[in-house]
Amino acid sequence: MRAHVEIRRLTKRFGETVAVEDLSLEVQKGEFITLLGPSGCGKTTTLRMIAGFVEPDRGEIYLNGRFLNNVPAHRRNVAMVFQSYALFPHMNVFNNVAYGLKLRKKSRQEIGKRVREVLELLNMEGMEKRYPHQLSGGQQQRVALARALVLEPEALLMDEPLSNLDAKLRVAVRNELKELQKHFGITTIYVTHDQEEALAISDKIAVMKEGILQQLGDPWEIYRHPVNRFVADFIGTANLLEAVVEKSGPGFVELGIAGEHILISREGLDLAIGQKILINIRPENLRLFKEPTHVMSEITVKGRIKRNTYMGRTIQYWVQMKDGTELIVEEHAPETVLDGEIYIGFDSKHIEFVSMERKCWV
Amino acid sequence: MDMRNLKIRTDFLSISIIAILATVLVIFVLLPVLKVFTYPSFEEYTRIIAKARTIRAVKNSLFITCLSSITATLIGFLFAYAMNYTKIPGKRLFDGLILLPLLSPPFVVALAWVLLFGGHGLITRQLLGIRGSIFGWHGLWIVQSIAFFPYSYLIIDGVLKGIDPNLEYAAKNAGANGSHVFRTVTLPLALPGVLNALVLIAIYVLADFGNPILIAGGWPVLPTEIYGRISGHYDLSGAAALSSLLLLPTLLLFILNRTLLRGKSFITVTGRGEGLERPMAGPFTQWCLFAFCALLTSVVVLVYGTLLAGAFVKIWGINWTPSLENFQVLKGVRGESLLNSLFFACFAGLGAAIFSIFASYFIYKKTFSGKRVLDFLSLLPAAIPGVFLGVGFLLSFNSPPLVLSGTAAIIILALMVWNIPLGYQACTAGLEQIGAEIEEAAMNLGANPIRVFKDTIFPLLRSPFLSGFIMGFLRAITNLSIVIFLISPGKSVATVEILDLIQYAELGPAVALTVVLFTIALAVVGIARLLLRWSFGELKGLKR
Ligand SMILES: Nc1ncnc2c1ncn2[C@@H]1O[C@H](COP(=O)(O)OP(=O)(O)OP(=O)(O)O)[C@@H](O)[C@H]1O
Ligand SMILES: [Mg+2]
Repeated sequence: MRAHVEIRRLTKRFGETVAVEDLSLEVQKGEFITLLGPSGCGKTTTLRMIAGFVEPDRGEIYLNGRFLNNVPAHRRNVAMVFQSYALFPHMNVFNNVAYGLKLRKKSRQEIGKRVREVLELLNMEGMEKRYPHQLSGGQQQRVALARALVLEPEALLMDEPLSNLDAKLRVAVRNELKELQKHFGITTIYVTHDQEEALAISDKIAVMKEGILQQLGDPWEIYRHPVNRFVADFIGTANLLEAVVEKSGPGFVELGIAGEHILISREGLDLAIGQKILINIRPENLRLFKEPTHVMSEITVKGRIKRNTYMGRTIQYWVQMKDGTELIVEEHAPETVLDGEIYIGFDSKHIEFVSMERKCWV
Repeated sequence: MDMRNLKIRTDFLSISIIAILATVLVIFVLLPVLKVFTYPSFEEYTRIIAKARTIRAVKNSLFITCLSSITATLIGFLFAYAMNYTKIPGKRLFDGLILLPLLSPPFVVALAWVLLFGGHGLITRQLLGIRGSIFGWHGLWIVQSIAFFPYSYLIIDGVLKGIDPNLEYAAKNAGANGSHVFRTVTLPLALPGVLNALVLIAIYVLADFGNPILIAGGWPVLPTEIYGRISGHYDLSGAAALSSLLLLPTLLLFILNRTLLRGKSFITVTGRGEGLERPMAGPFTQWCLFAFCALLTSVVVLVYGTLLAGAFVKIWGINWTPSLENFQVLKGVRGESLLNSLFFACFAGLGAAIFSIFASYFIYKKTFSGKRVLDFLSLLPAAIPGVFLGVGFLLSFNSPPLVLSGTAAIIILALMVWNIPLGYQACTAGLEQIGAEIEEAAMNLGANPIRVFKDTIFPLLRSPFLSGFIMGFLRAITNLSIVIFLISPGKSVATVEILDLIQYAELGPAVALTVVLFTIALAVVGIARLLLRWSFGELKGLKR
């Protein structure tokens, strides 16, 4: 079966600036995909090309098998929710939401019915007569969403729709957003530079950097198996360490990491002795002990705590190892603050081998 | 703001509209300018430039421009400073009265000057017993300073309001005292805006025709010389050559102004300091500024009081009995000229506003080759002195292919073109504020380019549209320098009739006609401002 939205080798440059380079993506019907990446990596430009506001230099866009490149923006039937919401300041809520339906020449009764339905769904009933400047940020956001959803578009595009909301509201609205998306079963392309938001909300995440797609995968894959240093570092907090293969055999490998020799038993590794590789171990998989432990499969190395950041639910330590490398360790529900000489323990299964090929800058 | 280049597939409709706009600009802006330049032969240029009288006029023009524009800017600055940095009593009153000169013909100050200091002047003759009059550059200097400072006040007021008070508090916090804050923060931040005001005022003064023709009699400046060439000798080539000479310094100032505006402004509209009260000037400074504002406002009141008095006495300087006799002038041909003024100005103001709204969207917003040329042509009339434009239209449209001389259309078109830059700038500023996303949202919801324009751009630009209309209307109804070259029997306008009356020494009727013209202008502006408030709530239409 063909994907619902299909992007093939899309490229856009603004003068010297590469906004999007050779981007290919497939989005299945009803899927929620997120474009994630730092500021300026081409997320908005990608959306704007799909919506038809920017013409790509190269590449094709298909919606439901229909070639979109030649279709003018106003006939594409992909609804966009803008970062600024872009509500019409001179129209009240009802007319904002009804605008697209009026353009589609629906009858008055139908317009009234559909606008009321969608506003009800978004808990905005009774606000029809208000103007955008009389609404809170969260309410404006809902109107923007209602205006897009009421058209039952073939695909929904959202450009950082939550970035103008405060942290609490952002979490609440993002859960609602996900519910609604499921309710309508609408194919959605979402843009954010907030990795936590992306992990929480997406079926699939496309991580971008400088216009180039780095990795496409579901939240598990992206977090657990980042393909390169950039992805590992951008998603969550990473302890990226360079390692040298010291011994290698069937089912095991010994690595030299930060002056320690660490034996890892794992199947299916194919590493040559002397090879340099990059590994990652997440702060939440590290534990601190006052004394060396002797738990099976637990590896222990010595270190010294440099500083900490207390965040209530968790505490983060910066621990210096004997060759000077710093590791971040995160503990949950801390009861005391540790200090001085310390042992770091971890399970070797939590060591990820960050792939060294594929657009990787080690 | 990032300049998203909206690369919409330029549709047939947009192309047609751009073509129409381009045609208007080429025929009514570019053509008259080129015509004036090319009309005189090389010999005629050298002949006219070599004349001693021309050299004197050029020198006089430059001299009075420097003098008057610096004074007017300085007065405007002090006044704006007083309005923003003091709590003196009567601020609102000062602010309101001081803007009166903006609403009246450019020569009212000169007319009041004639009534006070002229041959039958109240002060010269009645109080001091001087016979003859004190015309010449001193009078012109004072009159232009009073007539033009409100413009500089408006600009500098905007500049001062744009300075974030937090910066001044930061300076105070760092230990600077009042005068220190002024010298190290306020003044440097305001300076680019003040220079911008100075250059704009210089353009106005250089082009000023009404004031010198009334009171600078034997002291020639370029605009009056140009008029003299035509009215006295019907020497079209001479007038064209002098007009070219006048355009040069104006164009230079115009380009200077645009580069100043572009590069050097420190003012950033953060909006963060809004509503925050500024640190006020010291008490002594405040009282000095109060005295200054009171004096200045008194002068303005004196000007308008004199005019009113002049309209309602029998014969100024001879018979002071109150009477309505002067208003008899409304009955004849001169009265009809008032209707013409109103009619022409309405059409010119409306035309300019409509043109601007289309031009701002289809020229400023879209991308196409030749866009920069059209953008430049839309702004160019701001750099063209009225007299030049008058001569340009006169020369361009009195022979085929397009004969307009003797029609109302030539007057309306000239006045419209002259007012395009104001509306164009207001609308482009409005568009910048709306941002690209609103349009994209409409498009995204299914609106084709016409609907985008009709449903979003047009309603959102309503207030720049109306203020463009108001400004255009005012400038058109009070204009003298352009229309004086273009009127024909039955198509005369009030300002020309007023000048005519003054030249026949019929001061009473002249003043009466001025008062009525002023009243009409006020009424129209009042109605338009009501519309503005009704259509878009709190907006200081004229102040933008
Ligand atoms: N109209 C334009 N003209 C010139 N350059 C542009 C234009 N639009 C985007 N760019 C450039 O293209 C690159 C990608 O921009 P884009 O807006 O797509 O980034 P983004 O990923 O959405 O970033 P952010 O998270 O900050 O919104 C940037 O370097 C930007 O400066
Ligand atoms: Mg963006």
